[in-house]
Amino acid sequence: MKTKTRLCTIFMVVLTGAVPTLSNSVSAERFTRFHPTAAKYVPGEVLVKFKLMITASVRKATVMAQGHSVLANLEQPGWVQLKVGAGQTVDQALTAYRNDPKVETVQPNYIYHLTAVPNDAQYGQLWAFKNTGQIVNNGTYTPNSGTPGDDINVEKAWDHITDCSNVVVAVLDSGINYNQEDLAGNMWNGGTTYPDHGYNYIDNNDVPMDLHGHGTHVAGIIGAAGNNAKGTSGVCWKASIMAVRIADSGGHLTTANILQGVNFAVANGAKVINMSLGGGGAFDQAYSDAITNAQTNDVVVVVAAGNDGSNNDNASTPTYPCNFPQPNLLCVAALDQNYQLAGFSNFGLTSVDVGAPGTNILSPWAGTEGSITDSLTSGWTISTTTSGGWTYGSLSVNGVPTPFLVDPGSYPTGQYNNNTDDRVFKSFDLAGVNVARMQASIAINAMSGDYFRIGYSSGGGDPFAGGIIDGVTGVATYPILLPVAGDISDCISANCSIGFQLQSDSSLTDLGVAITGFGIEMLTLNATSYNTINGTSMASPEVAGLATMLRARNPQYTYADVVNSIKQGGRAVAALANKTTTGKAIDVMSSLAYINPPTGLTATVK
Amino acid sequence: MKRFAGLLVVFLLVGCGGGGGGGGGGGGSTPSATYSVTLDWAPNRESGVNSTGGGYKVVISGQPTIDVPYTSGPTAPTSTMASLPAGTYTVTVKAYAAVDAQGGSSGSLSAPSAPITVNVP
Repeated sequence: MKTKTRLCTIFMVVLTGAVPTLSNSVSAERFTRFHPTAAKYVPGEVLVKFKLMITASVRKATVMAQGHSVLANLEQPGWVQLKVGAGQTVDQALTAYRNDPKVETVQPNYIYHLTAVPNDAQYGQLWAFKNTGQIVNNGTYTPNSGTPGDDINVEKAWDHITDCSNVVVAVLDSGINYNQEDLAGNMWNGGTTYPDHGYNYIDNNDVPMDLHGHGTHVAGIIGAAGNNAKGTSGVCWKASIMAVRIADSGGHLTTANILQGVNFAVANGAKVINMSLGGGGAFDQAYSDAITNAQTNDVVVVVAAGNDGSNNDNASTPTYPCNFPQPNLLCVAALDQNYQLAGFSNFGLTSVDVGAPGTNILSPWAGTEGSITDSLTSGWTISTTTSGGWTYGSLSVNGVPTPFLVDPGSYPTGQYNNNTDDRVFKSFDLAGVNVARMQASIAINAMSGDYFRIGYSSGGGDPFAGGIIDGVTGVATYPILLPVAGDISDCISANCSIGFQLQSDSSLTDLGVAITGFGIEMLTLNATSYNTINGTSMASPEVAGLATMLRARNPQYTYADVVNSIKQGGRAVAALANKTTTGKAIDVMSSLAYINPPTGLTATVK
Repeated sequence: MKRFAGLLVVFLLVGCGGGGGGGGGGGGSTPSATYSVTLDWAPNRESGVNSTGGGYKVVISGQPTIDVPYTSGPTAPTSTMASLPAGTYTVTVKAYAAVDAQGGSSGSLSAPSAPITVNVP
């Protein structure tokens, strides 16, 4: 997914035309519901760890003195999530707390993302478990035909163990569709406290339903019910899978979500955690502390190497959690059907531990997907309180003429009106779906005091008259198109109107707004969907499944035993040599048969 | 079976006595020549080691390997005794289980523990 699309042709006009320069910093910070997809951390939030002797009342006073407020305690001693006060930047807040002797450490609330690219649901063949050289139905990764025997050698292991349900394995992800036919019987029993098998840290409730698909796919790789004549099988045929929802319907998550998720899983008895996610780039202390908490509690954490095709050892492209050094953490690269390193897979001689199949992987999905695209060329209701306002336009993007909604019509060579209220909206039929997400690419130049807003209303009509509205002011992104996306599930109806507004005061105007790439993605939950996708996200849960199986087979195993058995029991693969710490792909049967060397030998002579 | 085992023990003792030039006969009749060495180690955590077909092999340099099989209970024995003449020995212990790396029944054996040096006496 491209994060920035440059308006090259328009940029030329700026250089020669008499238009305002980019005086304001690029900032969409004041959108609260719509996330700029390229942001590295959550605007307006920081995570602070107070020294442990600092009392709760002193903490509160310190935060209030800064003009900040506590959003959440993060289930990790000392750490709190703060909302930065109005008018302050994250950088200012970081500096303030760094200079406070009561504070041990402070950091941004980093944004991470899930590591897979979904496409159409499809039933196919599980080459990862038994590679016969088959072609996977609807596989999108090339090559999509394999080398027989290049698989994780799990069928032989199933002669010895298929039931891993005595070990709780937590999937920290977008949630799990715990009603899916292959997963419903293999979910963690959370008793009356967690009747839906886990927790949801996006909405802070106990309903961790997957509104994306990724988490359901990951869970199925670990423990889709085997030998039940339905769908697929996981590494484990029977399992106890804990659903911890820490990613929203767009696959976005933050350090705060991760801390809460890891610590929930640890506190509620998970002995294996899978995190098919990555991102960051800066060392994230709070995140590292959560991994250490898992280690202290003897929990194995299996993570994806990342899908950037890059070297995680490179100082300029580290990926977390993969690069954390804790010994309870296993980082997994993705192999293709011929046991070559997948083109998208990250690697790292000192940071990535093992490889596992990660291309054309079939597993359960949360439901069926759909999308609505709109060409922005007709059907929009347009109004203005002055003159001109929104109009259909065409601008060149990378040399390609592209339809846009623009305000003013002369964008980007003119300026919008003073004292105007320009609106444009259109209704869409979203009836029957469970999740809807709007996305668009928007260039915004609005002076401080003038507002660009996105609005939507489940009742149809003008969404700026009673709908849900999100806006920004004082933003200048020109000539960069900012990809903006947000969950609009509370607009789901047969008549969901979505609109844009540019409203100005009496002083100073700017270039205005240009919108393209408008679309709505939808998900309708059901119990029978499957999907074939690619990613290190799919490789990680194969290893998590193996870790769960090893602990089920050997209840006395420590995290160190599990990690050692996986690494030592692996099969040497040429493509992983010098790319991983072991040079090996996982081999389930071999790890199951692996025996750690005895320890503690002493002799007494009489 | 028992009879055969008994015969085997007798032959072994005869052989031993011949080689050492000592006083043949029953075990322990020449206490000045051998010493009792007790070897202990921590239990492995693999279920396969601690169940039928599992156990340990104690390897003492220049001596026959001692098999310590699982018999019953939660873990295989983690102790054995050897009678050794005076000298310096390197000792390791390996764990084993019934299932092999291809899922068959030819068994699997761990790498040796960290070696220890035993001086007798």
